[in-house]
Amino acid sequence: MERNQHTTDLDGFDYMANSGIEEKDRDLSGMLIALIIIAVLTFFQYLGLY
Amino acid sequence: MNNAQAIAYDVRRKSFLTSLYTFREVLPGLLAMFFIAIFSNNLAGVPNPFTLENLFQWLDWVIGPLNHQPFFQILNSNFVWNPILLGLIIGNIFGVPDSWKRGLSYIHMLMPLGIIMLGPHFMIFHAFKLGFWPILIIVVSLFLTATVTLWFTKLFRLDDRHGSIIAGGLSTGDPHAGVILMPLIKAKGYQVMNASIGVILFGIIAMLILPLIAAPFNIPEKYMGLVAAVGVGNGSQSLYAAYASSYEAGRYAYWFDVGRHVIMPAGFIYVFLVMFIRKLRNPEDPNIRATRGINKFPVWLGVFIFIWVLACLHLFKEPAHHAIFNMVKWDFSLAAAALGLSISFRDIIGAGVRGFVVTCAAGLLRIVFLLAAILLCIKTGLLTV
Repeated sequence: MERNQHTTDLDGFDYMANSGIEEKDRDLSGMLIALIIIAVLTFFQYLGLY
Repeated sequence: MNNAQAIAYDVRRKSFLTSLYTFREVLPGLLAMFFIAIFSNNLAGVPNPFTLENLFQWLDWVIGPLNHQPFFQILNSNFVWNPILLGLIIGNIFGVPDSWKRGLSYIHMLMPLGIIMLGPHFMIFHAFKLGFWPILIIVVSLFLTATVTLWFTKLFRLDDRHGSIIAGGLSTGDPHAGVILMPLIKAKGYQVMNASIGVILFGIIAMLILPLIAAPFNIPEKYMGLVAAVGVGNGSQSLYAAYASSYEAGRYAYWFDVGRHVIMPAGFIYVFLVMFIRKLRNPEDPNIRATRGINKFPVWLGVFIFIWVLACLHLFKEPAHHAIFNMVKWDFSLAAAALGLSISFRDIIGAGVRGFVVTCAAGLLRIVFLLAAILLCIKTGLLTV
């Protein structure tokens, strides 16, 4: 199969491919960061910091 | 993801943080995303004046407003499209170095992150001032447009991932809803671009023809604003159509646009659910590609819905809601840069014009439905003039 020059490196790593355990791990990382940002910003407001 | 890639990941995995790779591996890609982002948009905390956003704004001042709307806003310039455009240009002219690719894979972490943080942006109570019947028309139009688009997708034998992106973009009126749908539908980047270009082009056609189609029906200015807000395309295209009809209609379009905006999440969640259930019912059908690879309802989408409910309960007061949205802009600017770099012009063109035909068919049917619904409601006294 021809290599997609935009997304795939010489080792066969395709950065737009997303599935399996790696996808779950990425989702979890994103979810945790989002919740931390939302919680911190909201908490700071309730404390009257801005 | 090919098998070798999955096995390589399983071998090196220590915890979920392995998906972030090492700092050395991801730094070049992260820097590429960072510089594309800060040269595309005016982002919080970055005092860089040399942005695509500022260039478009300056050009808008040169061109002058078109029916009170900036030209580049009509073309859908925003914090998602500017970095996609810059990424597309860089990727297609100079290519994407291999050293960037580990870092660019952060797009898959940034997408759920950004979508969850969008939750506090949609406060549904903002729309309650519009009144029951206008809200009902807006809601029915959203679900009907998405359903009809998916039906036309089947009729025209368009790839269902491509059709789902069109359904999301057209029904919500926000072409970048397609980008939000991308990880849920498992659509390809070129399908998202092809679909979104089609939705933007249809919006331009609709904003030009809607005032002409509606003129013989003598629709009151207030409800002309409603038809334009729901039946055209992005915010500026809708306002163009309304102002082209009359100044008052334009003012009312601003008023009704709130209704379209706050129920936007319902549009892309609906498209995802329809395609997801369809796939679960037809696990062996090779023509059903949308949501393929998603076996359970995504947890992060559940978190987004939870945050959206909290927003509707007014947990996030105005300053927090704006601060969170500034983070969303940062997030989507970075993710859109990686998306733009991944797509070749050849693939976008290769996706053909069938998607555009589906968009036009569904979009024109929506205009007919809206005009008929509003005329009927006025005749029966449900909408007061």
